[in-house]
Amino acid sequence: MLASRDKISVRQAIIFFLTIVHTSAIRLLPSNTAQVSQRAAWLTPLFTAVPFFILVLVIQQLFSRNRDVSLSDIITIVMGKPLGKVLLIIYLAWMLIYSGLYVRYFAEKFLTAMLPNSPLDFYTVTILAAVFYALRGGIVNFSRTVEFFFILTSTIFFLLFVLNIPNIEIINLFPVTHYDVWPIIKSCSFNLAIWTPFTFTFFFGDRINNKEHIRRYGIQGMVYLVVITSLMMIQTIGVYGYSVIQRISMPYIFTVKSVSLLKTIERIESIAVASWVVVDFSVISFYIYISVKIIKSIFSLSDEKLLLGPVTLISYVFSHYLASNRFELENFSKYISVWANIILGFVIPFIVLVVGKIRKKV
Amino acid sequence: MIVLLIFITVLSIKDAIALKSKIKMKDWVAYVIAIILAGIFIVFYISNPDRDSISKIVLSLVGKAV
Repeated sequence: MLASRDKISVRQAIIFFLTIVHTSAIRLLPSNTAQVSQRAAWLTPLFTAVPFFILVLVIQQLFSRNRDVSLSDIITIVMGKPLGKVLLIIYLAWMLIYSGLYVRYFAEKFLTAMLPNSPLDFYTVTILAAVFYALRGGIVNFSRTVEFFFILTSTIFFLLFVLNIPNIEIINLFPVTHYDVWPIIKSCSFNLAIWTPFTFTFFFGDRINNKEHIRRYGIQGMVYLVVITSLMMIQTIGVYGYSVIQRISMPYIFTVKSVSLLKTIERIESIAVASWVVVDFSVISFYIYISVKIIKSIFSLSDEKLLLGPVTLISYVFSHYLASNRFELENFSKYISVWANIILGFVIPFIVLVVGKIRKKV
Repeated sequence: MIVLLIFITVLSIKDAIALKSKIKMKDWVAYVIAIILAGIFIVFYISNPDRDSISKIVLSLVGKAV
């Protein structure tokens, strides 16, 4: 099939997904998994690969018959118009809340890590203005930029990991016994929730070419995620131990602060913070773009560009109205967004596939 | 917020002029509804920024409020 120029490839879509996983993995994963599976938490990504592989197969199956449509269209085709629209409205509400959540986290990260006395609005307005301006250029240009961001953030991540190796203590990661299997399985929920934006990526499936390769690139992405999240856990838990990591809110930055290069160059966490800016920029754009695409599907519109303005403004309001402090924000992520993500990103696509197979629509 | 509002308004007008011939009446209606909705959210937020947050409401519903 000839690739359309106004579309991105599956590879680019997966890279977009992999880039946005960085931010939530850094923020949520080490402390939450350390609370449940303690020193064996670094094995959680390996166990999460199983449900994620099933998710990849489910998405591949959903697009087996209808290749030029988005996930919104498939939901409407399979579930029928009334139920399909209701599901899409639920997805839309969640995507708007999620975009607000990431805008707020972006601001909170700076307020906590670097500039505690600056106004919240400074960060929220700046990032949303940048996102709005960038998204007007279209998903093709944006995905190319994200590819560069992906290489940049991955390189920084691996570099910081290598520099942190001398601080890792094996006693913090071992022993792991068969008694750790159940806690690891329980902590998989956090990891799976972080990986479910894979499903959301296909809300702009109508702008993705060669969807017959979803499985191939999905598995490659899965391997990357297993490696990168395992290394993140090894880095955080390996340096300070699970008992410290489970008690602090941003363990990764705390660990990176311990890096010292030849005992002369220190405080290189600013490199990590700089890479977060580009990752957060990508993730906020991702959710705003998906919101716009879902609105386009619900109302069967011809162009989504005009809707970027109102959606960006709603995202701004949600970023302020979502939580009154960082504590509420973290509790919301831990108790609500984990399960909402699993339901919307994993359970519903599976139900849609089963219904689609019964009704012979997919 | 005013800065963001002005920035978005100016660029949206620019986009609307550029897309004038391409987009249909239905798109304009959806756009106006979305703008009104965004306006309602903004007014709702500005009228009392200290009201209970979404997180607080949802967490209290599931019994996890602090």
